Amino acid sequence: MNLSMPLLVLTALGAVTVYLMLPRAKPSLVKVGGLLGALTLAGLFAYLASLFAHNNTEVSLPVYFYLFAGIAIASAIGVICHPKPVYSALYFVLLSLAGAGLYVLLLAEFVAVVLIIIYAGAILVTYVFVIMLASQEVGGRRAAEYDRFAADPLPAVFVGFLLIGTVLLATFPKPGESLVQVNNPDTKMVAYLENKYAAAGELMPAPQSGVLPTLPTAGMAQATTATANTVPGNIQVLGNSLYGKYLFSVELAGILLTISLVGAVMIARKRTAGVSVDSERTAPLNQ
Amino acid sequence: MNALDYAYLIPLLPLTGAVIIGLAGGRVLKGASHIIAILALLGSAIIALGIVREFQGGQVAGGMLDRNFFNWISAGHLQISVGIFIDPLTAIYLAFVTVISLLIFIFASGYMKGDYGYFRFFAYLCLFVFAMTMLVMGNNFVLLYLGWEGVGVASYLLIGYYYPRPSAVAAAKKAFITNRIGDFGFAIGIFVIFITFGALDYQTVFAKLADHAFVLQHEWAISVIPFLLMVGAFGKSAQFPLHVWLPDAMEGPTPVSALIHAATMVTAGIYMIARCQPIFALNEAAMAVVAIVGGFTSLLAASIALCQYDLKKIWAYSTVSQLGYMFMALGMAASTAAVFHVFTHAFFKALLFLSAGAVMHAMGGELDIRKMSGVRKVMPITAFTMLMGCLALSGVPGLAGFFSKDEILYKTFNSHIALGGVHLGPILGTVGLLVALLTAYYTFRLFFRVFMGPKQLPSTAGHHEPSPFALADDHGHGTHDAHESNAHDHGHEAHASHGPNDGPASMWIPLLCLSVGAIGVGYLGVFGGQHGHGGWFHDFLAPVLQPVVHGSETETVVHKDLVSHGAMGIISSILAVIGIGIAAYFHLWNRAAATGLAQKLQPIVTFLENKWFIDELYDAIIKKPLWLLGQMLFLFDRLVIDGLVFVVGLLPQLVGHVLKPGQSGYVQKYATGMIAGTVAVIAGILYLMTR
Amino acid sequence: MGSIELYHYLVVGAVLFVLGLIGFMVRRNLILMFLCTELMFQGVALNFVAFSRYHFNPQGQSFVIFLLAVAAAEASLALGLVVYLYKNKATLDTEAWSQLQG
Repeated sequence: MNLSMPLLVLTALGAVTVYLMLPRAKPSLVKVGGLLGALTLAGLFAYLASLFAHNNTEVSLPVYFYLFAGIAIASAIGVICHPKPVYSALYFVLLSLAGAGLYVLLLAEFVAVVLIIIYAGAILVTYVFVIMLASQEVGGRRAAEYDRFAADPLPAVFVGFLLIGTVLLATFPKPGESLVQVNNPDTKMVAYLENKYAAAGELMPAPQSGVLPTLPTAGMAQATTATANTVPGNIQVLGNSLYGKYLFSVELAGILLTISLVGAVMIARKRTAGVSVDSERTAPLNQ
Repeated sequence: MNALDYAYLIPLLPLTGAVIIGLAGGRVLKGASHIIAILALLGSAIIALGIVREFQGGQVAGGMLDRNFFNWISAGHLQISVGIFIDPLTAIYLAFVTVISLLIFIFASGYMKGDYGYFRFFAYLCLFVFAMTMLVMGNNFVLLYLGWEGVGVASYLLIGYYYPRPSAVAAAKKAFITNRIGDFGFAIGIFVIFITFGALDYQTVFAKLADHAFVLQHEWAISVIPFLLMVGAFGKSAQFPLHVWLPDAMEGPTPVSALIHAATMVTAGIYMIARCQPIFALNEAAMAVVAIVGGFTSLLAASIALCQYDLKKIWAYSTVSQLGYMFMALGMAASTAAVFHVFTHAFFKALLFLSAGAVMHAMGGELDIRKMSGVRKVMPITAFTMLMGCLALSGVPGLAGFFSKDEILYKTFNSHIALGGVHLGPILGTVGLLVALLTAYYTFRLFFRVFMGPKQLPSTAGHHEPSPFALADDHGHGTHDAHESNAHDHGHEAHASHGPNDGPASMWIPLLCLSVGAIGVGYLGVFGGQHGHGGWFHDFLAPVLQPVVHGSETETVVHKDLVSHGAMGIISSILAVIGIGIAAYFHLWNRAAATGLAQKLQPIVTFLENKWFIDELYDAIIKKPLWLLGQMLFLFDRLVIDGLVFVVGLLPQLVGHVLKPGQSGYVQKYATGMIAGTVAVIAGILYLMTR
Repeated sequence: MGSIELYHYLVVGAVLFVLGLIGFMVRRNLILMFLCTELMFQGVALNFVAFSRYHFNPQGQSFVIFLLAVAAAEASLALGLVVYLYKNKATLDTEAWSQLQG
């Protein structure tokens, strides 16, 4: 089987990077790992760029992509490799922001904002609170012993990078084969929309770049206050999908959240010994 | 009514008795177990005697009865039925077996009285009688073998009756194992018979033997069968080299020794060879071998008996010696003489044993003849009966033993059997005469030593012998069950002090009956005959045991006798008297001279006293090598086989040891493992998909 | 630089996922373990949204919303358990809980 050498090399380098950067006794190696990581990332992006090097009018987009992707990957490494838990959580926040940026690039601005509000704003804050509650710092600023040393990193790194190597090798074509071009979604979308509108007997609005076109309104009982010429944005499309097709799932998700709320309260409740509701009633009141 | 119609009851009654006594004897019958046994035997004896009468009257069709009762084994060509075959030979055997058994049962009821396990004794005895009668009554070789094994089992059980005694247990095992060696040969013989003749019942086999062409066709097999069969006979009837068990079998109670090891079981070998006479008749070499072994054994046993001091052992060796006589007769083509001697020997040997038992009973278990003397003064009846037996055994004219022994010697001397051209008649005849001399000597040595002379009784005289069933630390407290005679010398006052005496009536009456037999049955072989020579006995058996025709040589009727019958009688009588005389000199009148002579001949005495060191020889050449082999195999078993098992057992431990670090208890390690597995699966699938 | 195709996003998503996986297997702090599971969620969400964009299907984004809901629920429960465990052993070390060994 013709293994794609660049991918293999990159995978190996990435493995070494992560292994070196994981919390360890000698901090000097971490710095080495950091350098190596930068190199690996650069190499990865170069490889990706080389695969799709053909003319494209939008120059800004790739730059933003690589920027956000680089920040995301670097903060992910920060999450898993930093000795102090608080820093890990903060790196995670950074990761969420970078991820949001990527989502915006993918024309999913609602999801991006939701990510920031819920993930970074609620979940991560909860994590930080709990970390503050339960962290232990030994002698000043040093992190606790169990944070400073990774538990058996070698098998973990090996297994992880085996996975990514396999996935990458399976995803990317072998050298010499042509890439399966995922067609420019816009053109495909246009053709699809034309069929849809034709079937619905409506007139298709002019497609605008950067904006996700919409389906014909016929057959969809949505309460949109938009006029016929307004192109619904991401939120509306998503809303139609969520409350139209996946209403039941939304309700279930709500129930799930309620359950988890109750569960969390039950688990973390303080247990006092021997006090029940009835005993208060039967105790004689002071006359 | 025809007694033959009830013939099937003869084995069945003792068997039923054995079952009843065995089941109910422990709790219900206890001391009354003998009643059932005696009743059963009485029934059998009556029917047996009735059968003899039937044959005597000549009303039996074809001179024999062959009746099948049911089909036992049906396996392809092998068809065995349970049935009976009664001809004059069987009738004689049944008669004396049941009658002597009956008398011994009566004796035993007095002798064993109060013994622990009384009912067990009678149950085993009934079992024995059942097996013995099946042996002589079966109509095929399988039933013969069944009875053969059955008497072996009964013998084992009865020798080991006093099971707390280690010597008894060892003797029982020795008897059984030695028998087994013989039975092995016998079994092979039966197999060859089956292969050659295709059937195992007497009628078919003997009919085929009469067919000359058939015999020529299977010459080799037919010549081998007698040798195999005789091995079995030697084992059962204690001939050299398988004689070693009989003296040790005296560990059993005396009635057992009398019945089984003197009168009945040991004669089974004679019966078998007599029954298979048609087979033996075709093979002169086999007959010669039988005769030589018989002759040698009789000499061997007689010589050992010269130097034995144990009352019962002397009679045991005497039995072996007399059995040797019988085999000699069989081998020398004198089957009728052999059976006649069986018949008379049964009576006087049983008598001798029972008398010895009575003496032992009176002397409190003492058996050493050096320790007692002048017993006739306290046991007159026993002395008389013992004297009758001794006279019969020595072959003194007028008593039974004389007639049968004399006939054997006569027939042996004049026999035409030869081995390798050497006429064995004169040689074995001389041996026989020598043995007769020795027999007379040692017989009366015992009699004079024990019964005559000054009265000197052992200290245990008059007391009960200590029961081997007593517990070791039991010293005669008063808390015993009255039925258990497990006291040691209790109380010279407390116990009804009776001195040594003849014993209860149940003991001396059978003795007297047997004495009558010892005196009288010989005359059955003298008078009542219609054919010139021989008496009623010979005529009775004539249809069965015809003069032997062997090979292509027919025996000429006109055959010059080397020694005439009369001359033989005179010679053997003289020898008997000489023997008695020598015994009288050394043991009656001049006992000191015996001690002096023994000292002068010390090496010979030691050799004879130690039974020619045959047991030691067997120990060295058979037992020790087997023991060594056993040890080697044991070592092999322990090291190799157990080692292998141990190693196999180590494997799971090893596997566990290897896998143990995987169970570290750390969640993350488990997670790593799980993820590794999943990744492997994914990688595998992707690899297969993208190939 | 070329156009940004689906592959790019898939790569980034896969890398985030694997980094989260490694972190889960490696970090000994209970809270950080769960944080790394959140990281895995991030990678998956990116994949979903990318697929949603490139195949014109709002289902991907809907799923991400649900994913967020599940992540929130799971985080709350997990943290509740972590607090409980911490109260039990006064340490956040996962290796403190290793009695099921042999």
